[in-house]
This record gives sequence, structure tokens and C-alpha cells, in this order.
Amino acid sequence: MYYKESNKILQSIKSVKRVLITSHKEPDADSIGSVIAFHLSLKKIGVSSDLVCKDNVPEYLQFVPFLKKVKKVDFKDFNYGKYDLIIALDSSEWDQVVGSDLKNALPDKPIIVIDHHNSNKGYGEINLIDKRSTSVSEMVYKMLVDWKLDIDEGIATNLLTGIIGDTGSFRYPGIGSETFDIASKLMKAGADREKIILNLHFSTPFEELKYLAEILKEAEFDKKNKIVWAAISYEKYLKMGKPDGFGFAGAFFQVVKDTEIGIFMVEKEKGMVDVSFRARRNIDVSRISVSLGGGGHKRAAGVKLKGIKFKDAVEKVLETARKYTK
Amino acid sequence: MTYRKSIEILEKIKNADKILINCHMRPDVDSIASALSMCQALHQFGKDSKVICPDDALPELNFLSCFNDFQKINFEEFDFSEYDLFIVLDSASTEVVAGAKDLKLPDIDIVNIDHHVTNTKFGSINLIDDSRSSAAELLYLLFSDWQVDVNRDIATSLLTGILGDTGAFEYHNTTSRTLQVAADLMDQGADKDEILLKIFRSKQMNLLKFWGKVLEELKVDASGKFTWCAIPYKVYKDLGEPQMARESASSLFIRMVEGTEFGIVMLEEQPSFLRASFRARSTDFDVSKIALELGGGGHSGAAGATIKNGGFEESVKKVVETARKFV
Repeated sequence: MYYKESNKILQSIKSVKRVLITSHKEPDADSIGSVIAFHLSLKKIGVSSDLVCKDNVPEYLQFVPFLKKVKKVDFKDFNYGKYDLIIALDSSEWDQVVGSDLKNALPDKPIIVIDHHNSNKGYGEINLIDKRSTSVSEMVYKMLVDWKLDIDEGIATNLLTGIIGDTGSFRYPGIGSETFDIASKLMKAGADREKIILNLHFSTPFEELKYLAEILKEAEFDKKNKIVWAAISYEKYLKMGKPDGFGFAGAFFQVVKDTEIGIFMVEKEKGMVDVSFRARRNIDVSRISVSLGGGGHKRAAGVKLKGIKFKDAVEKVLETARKYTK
Repeated sequence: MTYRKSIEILEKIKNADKILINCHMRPDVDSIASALSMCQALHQFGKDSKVICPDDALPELNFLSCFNDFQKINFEEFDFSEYDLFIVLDSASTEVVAGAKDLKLPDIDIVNIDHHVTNTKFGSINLIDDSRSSAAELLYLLFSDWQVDVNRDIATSLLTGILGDTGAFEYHNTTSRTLQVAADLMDQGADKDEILLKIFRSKQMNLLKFWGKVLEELKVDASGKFTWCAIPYKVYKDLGEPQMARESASSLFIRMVEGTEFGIVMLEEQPSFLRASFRARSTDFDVSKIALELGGGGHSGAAGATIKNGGFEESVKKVVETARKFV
């Protein structure tokens, strides 16, 4: 038995007719993979369920099996009436599901929370929170094993999509042998790893590579302070055509020998600088971002500095970061 | 027992006095890590061995046990006479063992262990298993057959080889078995995070600048089926000729673009000496065919070729035009 809550969850699902499964807003590989796998599993035990999400599923996830089961909904006028039970996956708070404007509008239905976020305080009737799990998809896998349910190809591909998405294809620090073992079993059950990698890692729009070229051109190496950093001014950002995100760029700031911190700054609006920090090894970069008013994880964190000149923002960030590499 | 030939190979090892192990020319992470793991395994059988290679080792691998047994040699001058067994690993042909086409291998009994489908089977025993991601994954299975104690040091070397040849579990060659072997090796004490830090996150700053150049030059061919870029010698030289420049750039970027089937990175490593790396984006395309047509070789997912004695523009044109024939 992986989880003592598994049976209780199964019993409460079996006792109802119609289940609503929610993904978090701005869905990613783990939230989509886990909700679809959960839906397919409930179908196997004869319980029908609907899958809903506040936002559109991004382009890179269009390949996952049974994706069309996920419906985009507006929670403002959503009718929970026909559901007996809500299962919220990968959402640390209810506003992660419905958006912060509706965070106090918890539906008048029993909720089961299944999540791996540190900050989840448990807002359901049953709360299965495994902070050490790489992904909610891995948690769902374990629960299905506890339920002794057969894992078919569709479930396996969805779960492996979630695991690969949330572990950077097993490369993030702290991913242990258990995750490899589970991934191996999912591949044996028919999960198409090749297709997942192709869509998650090898389907970058060509322009994004050109942004990365610009960023690498700007990159500077502060050898003494063990920092590699780049800063893109608003003028330059405008010239690049104001790209939404820089996707994988952050990963390139944690690969330089003899460095501890990578910093990437973009002035996205005049006077607003978006800063992201990456740790190459052990420095907790969330402490840097918190001291500047931001947040994040130990190895990846960020902050938006507002009402400040570009040059001043860059200087302020570097000065703060240097204190932590000493 | 995974391999029928395991016992036969072990017999040869037990009967030998002094054993040589090779790394192929321009050795990569898997080549060195698997050779060092073999060296460690032979110690368990009480056998002395030396690891030889026509080129230098990758200095970032100096954390692996037996690293000091690595020696760069000249195959024409080295005294092979005191050795009675040569274990050749991860080498598809005799050319990549000796470092040049016209060099013959020494007249010693050769055991040939490899995962390349193109292996020419030049050993007295040939253990070829092209379903393995890496020589290291193959050796793990062989070591299990031999009942070698896969201790922390051997596990570290083997996981290093697997991480190197699978691009840390990203390339096509990663199978469910690969992940299972990785899990076992981690359970034996191999520290994946530390290995990744050493082999993938210890780049020189000028390598980042080189990647920037590659991305700046990157084009999608008019056919829409492949990406390519070519870096002339002067640019490479001005950046201090960063190690693994072409290999790292091709593995990282040229397969990333949606809609394409493969990519090419060309680098003029010396004047009039252009090397091309080919990478397939999915398993549906075999890049070794292009490399073969240009006189090179490799796997279906990753291959390479060298164009000598031509002007930069001319050689680049030759590669791109050859590639177009395959789209």
C-alpha cells in the first residue's frame, strides 16, 4: 500500500454517480496527464466523470490520448449541481482551479484533494498530499496500484507525460530511483515516451531559438561572484517582437562551470523587469527572490521589479545576488 | 543470463595475464565511462588492465574510479607485446579504435563488445547488442551475468555512460530497460544529480557563446524538413575552440524545431576540415544514410561525417545538397 488514503478515496468515488475532476488553471503536462489518467481509471470502475479546466490546453500537449475529454469552462457561471463529488488534482488552493477572483467561492460539494505542492493546506474532505512526490501523475500511479487497477496504454501515456513534464525528463535534482522504476513500468504498459519527448522537448517554435541566441549573446560571466547573467532591455525586447515566454532559456543559466547562480532579466514593460533565478547547485535562490519581494522554489525562483529603471533594476538584482554567493 | 557469450568472454579474461581496454577515438562520455567500469570490474577478478585511446580523455570525468589508468597512446608506437587480451568497447570499426583508417590493430586476441548496429565484428568474440542505449547499459547486463559486485564506483561509472549516451534520458535510445537499469544503479549508490552536474552542468562560458552563434546561424531549409547551420573556423577559433562544441550544439538545438525531421550542425574545426553532425528529430528518420553518403557513419538518430580539403562554402554546400536528397 502506497497511501493509506487510497481505499477511502476509492470508497467515496464508488458511492457516487457523477464526478467532476478539475485541472489547475494554465494547465501543464502534469495537471493534464493526471486528470485524464484519473478519468480513464474511474471509467474502468464504472464511474463517469467530467474533466474541466479554466484555461486552454497548450499546443505542446495536444498529442495526449483522450485530450478532448478536457473541457474549458468559465467557473463564474459553472453549475456544480449535477455532480456528487469533486476531485481537485495538482492544485495547492482552490483559486488554482477557478482563478483568484473566485477563490472564496468553494462549491457546496465534497472535494477530494490530490496534490504534491508544499504549500497545500488541504481544503477538501479527503486530502492526499504527498509533498515528496515528483508529480501528481506519480501519485495517481501509486493510487492505481493500491486500487489494483490495470494500467492500460492510454493511462500509461498520460501518467508518463505528467512525470516527464514535472521532472524535466528525470533530470531535475532529487528525482530518485523509484520514479525511474515507475516510468519504466509505464513504458512497459505501453506509454509512448518517444512521442512525449518529441512534443514536450523537441517542438519549439523556431523564433524561440532566435530569442535564445540573443540572450546568449548578452550573457555575462561574473567569475568572481560565480554568477552568469543576462539582461534584456525593453528596447531589445520590443525588437524581438515581445515574445510571451522564453521557455527553456532559464535552463541555460545553470550549466556554467564554477558558477552558483544564473540570473535572467527581461524588461517586459517600461519600468517592469521580470527576473528569474536558477541555482546550479545548493544555493537556495528563493531566498534571493523573497528578499526582493518575489517567491519560488529552492532551485528556480523569480520576482517582478516594478517602477524602477532598467539599469537600476539590473544593478539591484546583481548586488542582492552577490550577497548569497559569498 | 542475458548473453550467451558472457561466460566465453569471462573465460578469456580469467586466462589472460595483462589486459588492454580501449576508448574509441575522440572519446565521448559513454566510451570513457564504460572502459573505466570494465577496468574496475577486472580488478574484482584480480586482473591488471590499462585503458588506451588515440585521443585525450574528457577531463570532467576525472571523478570516475580508474581514471588514472587511462592513457593516450600512439597505436604505431605503443608496445603491445606484454598484453594478451584486448577488450574493445563501443567501437564500430577498427578505424575508430586506432584513430586512423590505415592503422592495423595489434596482433592480440580481441573481444569486441558494442551497441552500434554498424559494428564490423572484427573480434575473436563479438558481443553486439544494438538494442542497448549505451555501452554502459550493455556492460551492466554483462556484469550481472559475471556476478560482478556493482559497487558505488562501478554504478557511478555505468550511470555516467548511460546519461552521456542518452542525453540524460532524452534520446530515442532510452528504453524501459534503460530506466530500470538506471534505477538499479541509483540504488547501488550512483548519484545522478552529482553526475549530471559534472557532465552536463560544467560548461565553459565560451561554449555558451558558441551555442549563441549556432542559434544565430540556424536556418530552416526551404524544404521545411531540416534545420542547419555552419560555423567557420575563424568564429570557432575566436571563441577559444570550446570542447564538445559541435556535439553539444547538435544534441541540444537542432532537433528542437517543430515540423522538421532532422538537423545538421557543421563546424570547420580546422581550415578546410569541416565536420558535420546529424541528428534525427524522431525515430521515423535515419540520418546515418546522409552521413554514409558523405563518407561518414553513425546511428539512425545521430551520425557524423567529415569533409576535407574543400573551401568552407563549398563543403557546406556539399553537405546541405546531400541532405536535400533525403527529404
